[in-house]
Amino acid sequence: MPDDRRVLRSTSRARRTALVWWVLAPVLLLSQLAFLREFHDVLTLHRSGRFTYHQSDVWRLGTAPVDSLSRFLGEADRLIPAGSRVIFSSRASPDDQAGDRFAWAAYLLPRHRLIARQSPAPEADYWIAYRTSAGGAEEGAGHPRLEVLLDEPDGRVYRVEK
Amino acid sequence: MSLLALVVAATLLGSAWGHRICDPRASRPYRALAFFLTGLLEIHLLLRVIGAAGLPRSLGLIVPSLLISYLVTRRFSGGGSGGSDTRPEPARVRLGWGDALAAIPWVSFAALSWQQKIVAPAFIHEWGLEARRLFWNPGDVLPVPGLLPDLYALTAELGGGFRESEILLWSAVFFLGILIGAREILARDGASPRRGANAALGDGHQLTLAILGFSLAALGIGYPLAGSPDWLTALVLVAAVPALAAERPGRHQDLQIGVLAALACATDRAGLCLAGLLIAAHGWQRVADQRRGLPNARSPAGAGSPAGARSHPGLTPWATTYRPPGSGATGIALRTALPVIAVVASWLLVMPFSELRQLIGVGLPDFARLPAALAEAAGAQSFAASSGLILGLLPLPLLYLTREFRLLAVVVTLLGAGFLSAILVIPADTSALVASRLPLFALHVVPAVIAACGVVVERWRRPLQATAGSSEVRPATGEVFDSADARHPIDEEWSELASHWNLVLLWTQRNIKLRYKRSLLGVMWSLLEPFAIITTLVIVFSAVFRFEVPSYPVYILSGWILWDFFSKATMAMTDEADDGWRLSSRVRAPRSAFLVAALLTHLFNWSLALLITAGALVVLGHPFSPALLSLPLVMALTAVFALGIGLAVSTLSVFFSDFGLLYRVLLTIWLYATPIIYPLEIIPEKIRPLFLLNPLTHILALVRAPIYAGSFPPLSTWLIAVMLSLGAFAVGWWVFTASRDALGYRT
Repeated sequence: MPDDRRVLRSTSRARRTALVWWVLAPVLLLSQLAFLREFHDVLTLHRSGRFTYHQSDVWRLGTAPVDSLSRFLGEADRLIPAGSRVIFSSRASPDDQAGDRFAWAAYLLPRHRLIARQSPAPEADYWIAYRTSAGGAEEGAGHPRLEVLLDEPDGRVYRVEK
Repeated sequence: MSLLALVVAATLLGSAWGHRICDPRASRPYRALAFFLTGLLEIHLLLRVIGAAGLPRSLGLIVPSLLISYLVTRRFSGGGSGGSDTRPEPARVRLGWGDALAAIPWVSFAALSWQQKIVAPAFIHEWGLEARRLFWNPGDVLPVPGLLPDLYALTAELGGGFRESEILLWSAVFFLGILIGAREILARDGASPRRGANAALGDGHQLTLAILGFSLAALGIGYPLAGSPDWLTALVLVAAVPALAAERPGRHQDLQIGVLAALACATDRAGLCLAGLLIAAHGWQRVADQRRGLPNARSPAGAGSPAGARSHPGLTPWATTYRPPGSGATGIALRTALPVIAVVASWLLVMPFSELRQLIGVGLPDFARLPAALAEAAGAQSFAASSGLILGLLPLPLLYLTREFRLLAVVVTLLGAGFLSAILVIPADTSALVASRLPLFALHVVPAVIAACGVVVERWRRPLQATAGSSEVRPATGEVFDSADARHPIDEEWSELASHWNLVLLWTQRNIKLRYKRSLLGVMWSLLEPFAIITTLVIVFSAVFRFEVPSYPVYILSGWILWDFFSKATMAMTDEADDGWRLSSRVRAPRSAFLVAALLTHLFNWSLALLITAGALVVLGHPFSPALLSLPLVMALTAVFALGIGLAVSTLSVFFSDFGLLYRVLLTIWLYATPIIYPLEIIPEKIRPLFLLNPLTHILALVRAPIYAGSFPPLSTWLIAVMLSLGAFAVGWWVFTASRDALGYRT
């Protein structure tokens, strides 16, 4: 003989299970859609190649501007002794994201102490001018206390004479 | 490979603590997670000591030190796989479809991290930068807090080079830890003695796990967050939930909370707040348990299953209050606070206290920016993938209603308050701060909240019942009364109210019938009374005093129907405290049922009054708006607010009979302090903030927006009204249930 209470309980449980599915399944669907959208957006962003020098706030590792900066700073790193005090300056963009480029330079030059300045200062040992106007040549060439160590299209590396 | 080696090494190192650091009944993955986190902390502290001593951070020194640490810990803690045969077996894990679904977003996140496509800006600016400095300049000043830089640098040292691909995978490891922790929260419910050991996860559990996996991956990819410390902070909170929700926490919960709090400190400055709250919440629970004389899991009375003490046939009264050495308040404080003290001491080794204080940046919050911060927080909750996770906080009130997750709910609420204060302390653009930090706050707290809510949902779906595999031996009903089994009045009254819902509806019908039974006009009185009052007010204030408000009759009408409901409902609840409660002293019925019935009676009257409103809008030529569809939700919120006030007032009026009369006087003042018959704009700017402290002002804005302005209320108004309503309800319910038993002697 069936237990009426058990039948009642199982009916209630079935209803509740259905309700849980009705409530949580759309939430799951939404979270899946959100995930797919973000996944798609990231892949599209990296394939589009929209990372430019001026938008340094959205630079990512492995993108063209970071690779370019990394190559240049790699060359500079070989010329500068570890632990040196180095000024890093870069060309100001319209929205002035030089701070972001400085952070990337600090990340890529971990052996040195970077100083954020736009011109040579006496407390620095070296000056890296990355994509400043004319590659830093205008500021640096005529300066009596600067010696050019590296001259590349992306920028220049100077030793600051004491 | 170096990452894998470090994960294994940390887990082995932590396993030396054995059962001291983790509940022996926990599942194997969760035990491994607890060991891994303990091992991470040990590695971090060891590296700090090596760095502070000025020794080289070479593998030749680190590996032997770790080995010695493992052997010493194992020797003195009695940890490892050996031990007593009577120790319970860890719960088995049965993977389900929820695990499979959650694995998909986790693998995707790990793959994108490996490809360096979702690197967090914080990794470049802070954590990765510090790690690279540590890697290239081993003698440099150690960063504070510095667990992640230490870990990243050690991974690079083991791998022979700083490869971001591998280092960024640490975030995927922590993500996996969050899923394991969440699964443990869900599975403990499924495998609890009441449900039968090794029970598979239910539908609600599986859905929760899958939702959590996809939401976290969406945030981590969209924000982006690979390499960020926030994963570890989130993992700490999730891993702490089983200890916070433990029925009778013991020593291993003390140590576990201590280790997790220390990890939170060592991870990020934001973790300091979490660490303090975890220690305070756990300490409070332990002290409260001791005051009640409850045995903990380590005492002979509480050994084994939670019901061990109660089912033991030879239990003597002293056994229930027996406390082993070291289980006093000092022992608890030492176990929970020592790991944190060790972490902070390691900071003081590398920098003086004054610098440390400056780094932590304690300041006074600027509360003038609070409305802007709240509005921005409400506005930022779009359904966009990367910011939608914050919506996971919506079911937080559910956790307040569940006894075992109440501490978690309190911790999360206070973390939210801490988040807001941090925003108000920093002198920067409030909108930008909220927009950038809200998703991180969501990542810290939402996984734990979602997992706990999964338990609540599943319990509701599958009510408690005896199962075939139940391992619990419970005495037959009526044989033994154990006061430790008694539920908290807050829970008990709630369950009683839910089970007597039919009585509430019947009592509401009775109230409505009684009110209009002998009157000539019947239900028409609920229309005529407010109509007469509103007509009088319109004549007085538009013809005599002349407020320059367009469509003034609609303006005053929209405010008056709210006030009419609120004042009458709360006064009726106070009256019901005398009449209905006398009945409940003779028949078994929850006292709150009569108060809720009084509220529903007036909610019915308010619905009728809306008919007047609709008629008035037609007569006055005021346009109808689709925003009127939001009125049911507004009414529900107002009812929750009124219920909270009514519960508190009716309880107080039983104890102090003058309070009921005083409340009527207060209502008159409250009416004129609420901008119902006058616009808020006529109040001088200087004292207007005082009017904004009135909760009804905000609820009134919700009612007025759809009826008078014809627009949906802004999200910030909704948010404030929801907070006020739930806050008033929580306070009222607490006041009522706290004195529930004493009410029987007063009525």
